[in-house]
Amino acid sequence: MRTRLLETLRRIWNFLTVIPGWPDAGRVARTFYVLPLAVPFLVLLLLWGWVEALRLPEMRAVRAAAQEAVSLEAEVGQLRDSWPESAVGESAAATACAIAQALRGPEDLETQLAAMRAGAAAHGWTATFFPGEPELRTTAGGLPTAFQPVRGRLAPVAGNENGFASLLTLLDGLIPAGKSGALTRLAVRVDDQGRLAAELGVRFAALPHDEKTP
Amino acid sequence: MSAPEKFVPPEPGGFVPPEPDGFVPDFLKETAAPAAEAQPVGGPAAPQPVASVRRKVSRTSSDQLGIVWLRGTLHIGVRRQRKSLGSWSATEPVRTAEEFAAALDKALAELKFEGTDTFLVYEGEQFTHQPEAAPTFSAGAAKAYLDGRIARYTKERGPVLWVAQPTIGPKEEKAFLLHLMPQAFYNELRRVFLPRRLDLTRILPMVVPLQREMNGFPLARGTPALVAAELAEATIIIVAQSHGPLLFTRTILASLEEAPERVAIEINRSLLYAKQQFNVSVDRIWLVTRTGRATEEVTAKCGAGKVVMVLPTQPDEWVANASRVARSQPVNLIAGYLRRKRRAQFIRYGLIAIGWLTMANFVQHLWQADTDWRNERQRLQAVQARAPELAAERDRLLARNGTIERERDLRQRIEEAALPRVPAKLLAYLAGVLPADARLNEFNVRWSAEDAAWLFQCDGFITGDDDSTTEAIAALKRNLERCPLRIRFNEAQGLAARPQLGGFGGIAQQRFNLEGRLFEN
Repeated sequence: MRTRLLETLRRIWNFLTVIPGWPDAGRVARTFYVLPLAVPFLVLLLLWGWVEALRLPEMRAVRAAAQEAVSLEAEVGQLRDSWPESAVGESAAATACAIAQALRGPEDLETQLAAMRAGAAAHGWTATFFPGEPELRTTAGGLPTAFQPVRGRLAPVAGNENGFASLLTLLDGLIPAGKSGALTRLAVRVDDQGRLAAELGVRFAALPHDEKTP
Repeated sequence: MSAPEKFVPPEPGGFVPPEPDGFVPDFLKETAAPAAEAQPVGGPAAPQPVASVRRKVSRTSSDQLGIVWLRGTLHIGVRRQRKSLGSWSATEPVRTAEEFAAALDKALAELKFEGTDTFLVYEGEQFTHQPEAAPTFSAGAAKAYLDGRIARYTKERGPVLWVAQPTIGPKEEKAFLLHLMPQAFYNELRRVFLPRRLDLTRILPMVVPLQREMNGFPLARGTPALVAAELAEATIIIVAQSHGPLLFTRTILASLEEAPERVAIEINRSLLYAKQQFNVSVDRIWLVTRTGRATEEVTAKCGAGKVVMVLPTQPDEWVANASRVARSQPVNLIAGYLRRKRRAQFIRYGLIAIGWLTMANFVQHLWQADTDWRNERQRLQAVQARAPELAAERDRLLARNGTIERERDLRQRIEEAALPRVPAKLLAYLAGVLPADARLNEFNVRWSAEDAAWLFQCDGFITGDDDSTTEAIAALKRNLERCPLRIRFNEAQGLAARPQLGGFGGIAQQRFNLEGRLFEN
């Protein structure tokens, strides 16, 4: 095997270095003859060695030293890209608007119920509301919120001849504008004499009154 | 008959000795012996002292330098296509390479040859011509046989340039005439030619120009003929078909001019040999010589019925004759060598080009990478310097984003309290599509947070017979299903009971109940 390898190398050497017309040229002459062929490959080898032995370790060391700062920079970039700076103001404004739509306490609730009673009376209905216990909603952070349930009963006042139509109109505008709330239940019954009676459930978004709002 | 058109001449590179009991005719053994038993050719000979000859060389010149070196005589001529520009003949015998070099210098000085293309017609002790019979079943087998013979002889006696010329075998065999020249002698020749910038492109045996000359004789194609040509103190005899292959060749060490009797005897023996071995009757004999002095002797020795013709030829005329031989003539001792040399040169130039291009590309790549790395390093250093600032910025952004997320979550939770105004819409729609004969007495709709859907249920009475009420309820359901609130009824519902009967036969109030859910959130 070794002999064959040496023979192969010798043949390659001869092939590359044989000078046309000078078959028995000396080693020095052959070496000079092969220089145009060998120089680029030697230079390539040297450059490759320089890159592998010196340049790449240096690059790796510098990069490793700066890795923490680079990661920090990338993280800052990601955080910055998550939200534009303008989102801060917009979010604050939208949040203030949303908070304004939530009930801020029992007084606020009573105010809304009074408005609803007044609205019902304006449509020929008598409204009775019974606030329930607030349902606290779990949250990972930030302000806690709750749903404030309210049960209600509607009965037409005497002389309300157009009970059903007025009920539909009343239900459309029952929840006061500017407050986040909705009907969650509606039950309408008609007795044998044709009298209407409605029961309803309402819920409002509320901020627990003992918390400070932003 | 051999098939010369199928034969691929082997590459030069070896020498085959004559077989003791083989195909070689006796007379050939006798006459060819001095060449075959020439001094052993070993390694490369010592470099020859070369007189420095400066001559003007034109790369574009198509002139040819023809050298005819025949057993001590040397004739050199310059040809431009078919025109002779001059000739020179050595006055002294030229037998060694040193003598050849000195004579060549004189000729070059006199002829003022400016080209490089050179051919050599050589006959001498260093050039032997050996008949060889090969297996007949395929050209490949013949080639392998010859290669084997050459390899064996190379191992024994050293490298030799060789080329095989197809001939006609005596017994329908594949026969070849091997032209053999020791590599050492060829190297000596190259050491003579190369310093003088002469590109030796052809080394031809004398058989080649002789056969070409023979093809010019007034002979019918395929007619066998014998040609005896004077080569200084020797005579070469060939027997061949006109415009066809060679039968055999011999070299007689006697001059046709000086010893016509002996040569005439050998010519007669050759005729007999052709008759015996090849069953060919050769009736035409051509004597290519300076004078026709040997005609009578040949006519006398060869008997009646033979036509003896004389072609007066001066030795230097062989230059012109050989120059007309085609460049692609296969019986060229160095055709394969030159082909390999050109291929090696091509590969070498290719490798050099690849090497330099690769190096240039790699250097350019490194240059670019170095520039990039400098920029990157500057950036890394800047980033490292800004690390505290970045940390503070990260904390600020974390706080900012946290606030935004919390606020968004708060808004979502507040907005979740608001639901679409489905109850009033459904009640109004139901009232609009309720049949005139139907009456609702209970309507319920509620939001199910678990199902994230509105569930509804309505209960009422409808008046009519079975068919009409069923149809009316089905129509009610169809109308409700077309509602934009996307109502889906629960399974198996509709008419529930027949609680009351009216005063007319078949007319009754029937209770119905509808339940389902709305997907409009």
